[in-house]
Amino acid sequence: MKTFAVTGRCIAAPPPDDWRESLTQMLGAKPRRIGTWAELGLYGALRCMADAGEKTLPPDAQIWLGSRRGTYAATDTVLDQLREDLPMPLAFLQTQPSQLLAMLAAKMDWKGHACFVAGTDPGALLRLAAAQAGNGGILLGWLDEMAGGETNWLRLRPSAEAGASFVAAAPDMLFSPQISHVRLDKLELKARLLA
Amino acid sequence: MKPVYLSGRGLACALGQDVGTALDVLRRDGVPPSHISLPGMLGGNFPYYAIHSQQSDWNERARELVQRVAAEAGAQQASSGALFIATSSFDIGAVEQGAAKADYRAFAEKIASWLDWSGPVYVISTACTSSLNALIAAQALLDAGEVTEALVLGVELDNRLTLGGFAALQLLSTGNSKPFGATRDGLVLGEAVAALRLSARPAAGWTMLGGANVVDGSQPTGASASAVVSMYQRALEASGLAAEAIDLIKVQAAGSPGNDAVEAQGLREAFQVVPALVSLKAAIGHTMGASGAAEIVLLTACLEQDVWPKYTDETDAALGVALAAAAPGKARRVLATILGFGGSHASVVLERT
Amino acid sequence: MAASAQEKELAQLIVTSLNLEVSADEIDPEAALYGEGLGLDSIDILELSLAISKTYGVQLKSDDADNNKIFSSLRNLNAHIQQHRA
Repeated sequence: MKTFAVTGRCIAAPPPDDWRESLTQMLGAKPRRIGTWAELGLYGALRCMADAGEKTLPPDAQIWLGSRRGTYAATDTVLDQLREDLPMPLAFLQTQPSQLLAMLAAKMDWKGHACFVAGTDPGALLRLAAAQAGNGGILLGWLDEMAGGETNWLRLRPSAEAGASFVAAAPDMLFSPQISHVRLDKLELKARLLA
Repeated sequence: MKPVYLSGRGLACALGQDVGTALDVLRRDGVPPSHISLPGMLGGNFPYYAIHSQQSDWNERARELVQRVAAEAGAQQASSGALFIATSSFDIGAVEQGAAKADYRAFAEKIASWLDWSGPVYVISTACTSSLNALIAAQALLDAGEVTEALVLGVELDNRLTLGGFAALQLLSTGNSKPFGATRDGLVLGEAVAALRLSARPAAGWTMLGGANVVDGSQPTGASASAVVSMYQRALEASGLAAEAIDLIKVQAAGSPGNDAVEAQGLREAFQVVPALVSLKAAIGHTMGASGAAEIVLLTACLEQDVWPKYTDETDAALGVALAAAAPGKARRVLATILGFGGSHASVVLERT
Repeated sequence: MAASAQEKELAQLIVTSLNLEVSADEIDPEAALYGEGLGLDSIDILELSLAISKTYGVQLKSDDADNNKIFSSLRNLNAHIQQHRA
């Protein structure tokens, strides 16, 4: 059984209209070559870190990112470009979802374990993350650019919180603003609500 | 973390469509790459280690290869456990043929159905380190007791997006792959489907002790020496071993002018005495997301049957490290490393028992 | 010396293909493209190389020993392209 406290979050599904301006502000410059999917990811991750009051992650923390369809838009663009010529290099890099992990690590001036998991659900993503996470905890994100976009992130720290106040939770409840703790009890996801 | 046992393995690559054939062909000095033609001024003809197959329908070809490789690894004995699919290109080849749409979940369901898989399915995509990150995740899941069996399946099959992208980044050699070579001039890519079956139940042969992945975003398409050092330190720590305990390292050494030099620098900094080194890139090409699994399958088989890749190109003396001309007398503890896009540096520790 | 029409056209290609914040007119034809100056890095140069090959039919390879000179400024890059264009 593993329990984590939610010490920061960004729930943005869809993100606010001014998310690009907010991202530019957080980065100090307009991002110019990373593509919408990664920009949306950076926005959510940096908002979540700010909410947790952390500038960077501890060395033994881990970043886990999931997505239903990931970089499909960048992939379509590159497949179009490929009909007559080589694709543009940056467009090709944008098809690799793990590029976002590198950008996020660079932005936080951090080096450590980060992993992208494709197509599963947030609960399964948390299960993989929790099996590997150390004392530094997890920065967990779920990111898609379909239908207005979704960039949901949680900063999770290991917690000794006990008690019977945990209730069974569906995977999509992970990103409810009402949750203070999450727990994996065997294969079951549980949550503790904010008092 | 508790060790996990390699209880089965399978491989299809340019050398052959099962481990035995691949090893026989490698023993007889391997195969030359085939070629692929790419459009545009910076396109042209590039060598490519394709899997020999008459089937041109991407889905059908992938199904045949995945089923064959999984069967060789004894996948049916694990099918209620966790399936980890490791890939950087998913089924883009099928998307290019108009036979799929870019959708990760549909891709995962397709592969799971080919294998009649009943357990949980995860798709790990961290570019070239995908298979090693899948192994690391599988070990953790087994350690947590959530499953007792897992299959790591690396899948990297023909598609123009990957080849075109690497060509656009000017990373490809037009000749051959020359790991740590004096005249190395880029990567040669290849196809592979590779499977490693892992079990919490002890089995004779090879054990995975631990592993580590370090993402360093300072170089979008290349490696960093300090991250190489950190990766080796963390992998050894996760395995409870000292650097001196390592007998052999399977390095990345894909023949890239810049990256090979960075990797060599990292090796010299991480190890006071650099262990024997081996690269398999000149035998099967760089098989990207599948490379970690494919090269571990091939390496463990090579060590068991005393087969060793031959390097015909002159080594770059300036690197200060060199590949071993023959297998070390004993290679009990082995590091298998892949460095890749997205600043990802991963290594796992294997022990032969 | 002010930018020529050809140089302005190339400057526009640089701004568009690299999604730069500056306008084409603001690029000093004699200032460095790499590092200080316009602040481009090796990935930008790869992107630019492909954009130039598509537009002008001129091949620019990342392992060309003369790259430091070719990419040293808008003026030198344009001179190289005009000399080699198909």
